[in-house]
Amino acid sequence: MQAVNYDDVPYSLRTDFAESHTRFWQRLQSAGTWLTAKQRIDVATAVREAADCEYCRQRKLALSPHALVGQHSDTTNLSPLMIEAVHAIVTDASRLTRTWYEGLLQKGLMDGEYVEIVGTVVSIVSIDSFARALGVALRPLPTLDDVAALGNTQKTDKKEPNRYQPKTVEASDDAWVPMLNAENAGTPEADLWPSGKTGNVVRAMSLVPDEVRTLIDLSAVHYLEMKSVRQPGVDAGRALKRSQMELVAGRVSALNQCYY
Amino acid sequence: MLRASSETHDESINLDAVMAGGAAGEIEFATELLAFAEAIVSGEDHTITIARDQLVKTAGQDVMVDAAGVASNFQRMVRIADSTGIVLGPMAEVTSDLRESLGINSFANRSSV
Repeated sequence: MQAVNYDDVPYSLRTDFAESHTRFWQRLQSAGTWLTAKQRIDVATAVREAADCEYCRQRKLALSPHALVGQHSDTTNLSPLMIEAVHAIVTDASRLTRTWYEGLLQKGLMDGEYVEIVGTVVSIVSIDSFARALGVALRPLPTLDDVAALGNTQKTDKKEPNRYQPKTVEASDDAWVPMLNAENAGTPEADLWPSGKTGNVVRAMSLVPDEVRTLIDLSAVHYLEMKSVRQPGVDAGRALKRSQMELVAGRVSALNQCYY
Repeated sequence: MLRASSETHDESINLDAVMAGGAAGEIEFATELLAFAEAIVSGEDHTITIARDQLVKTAGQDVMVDAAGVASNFQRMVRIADSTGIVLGPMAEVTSDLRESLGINSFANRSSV
């Protein structure tokens, strides 16, 4: 299994960054709930290609981005619908609309596939952003050889997507995508928010519970454990005080024009 | 959460700095932290290098690394919200006045578009 390391970073780094990124890399090279390992790696590849996509650049400049006709720069084997989802989330997320999302579904993308794409895209965006912030090269993605090597050691049920859908998932006015009920005690997904309730940003990807588990894992290292997020006095023992964390978080969110 | 955490640390805070940059009040290293956050969102390597070097020089490398972690975390969180169309829920009412005064309501609520 390919591990992520930051040995080339000229600063002392907490080891939990590399450890959590390695856990995500391991997920990336395994079958997900809706996507194969190869598709998951292709999504990660497409995230990086989106940065240089001329069609995305033109849409970013357009007043009505989704009215523009064109073709994304793409070397993967993902379907055009998946590529559209990946590139739009990476390059112009603040202008996505429910109509755009529903259009993807009407053309054949499954809602579970979409949510798994969201989870994979945002994890890569975050990990790549971290590398850029530290001034080092993006970490090499897992390869098909890694997938094959891991596949030889995995149980059969881990090699293909199982399309698991939680029983308590439902469509609501709380989001475009179906989500688990906020009250999830006693369900197989009770581990996602042990307090029994949580914010919509954590629920958002709960149609694919493993995407929430990845979010929890990475956020605990980059920011805070979920149980501490709503406790403004908790500092997590980091070099940054909580108010400094929230200043950075708020500015990044504002620059991304995030209403939430 | 910024307002609540600054109160916990007994620091005055200018919340407008979150929306527009500039002086943020009594939060230590605020100027350098804001510049680093802005550089990371810009994605421009040269700008990031300048902001990173300044933050390390002023606050030390551990602060810079943690700031890189937080900033990159929120590069993720904003995209989750935007791409799933979630609503604010009960927080909308609680934060209504603050959101209006800061201009956050000028950003599109994904659930309504």
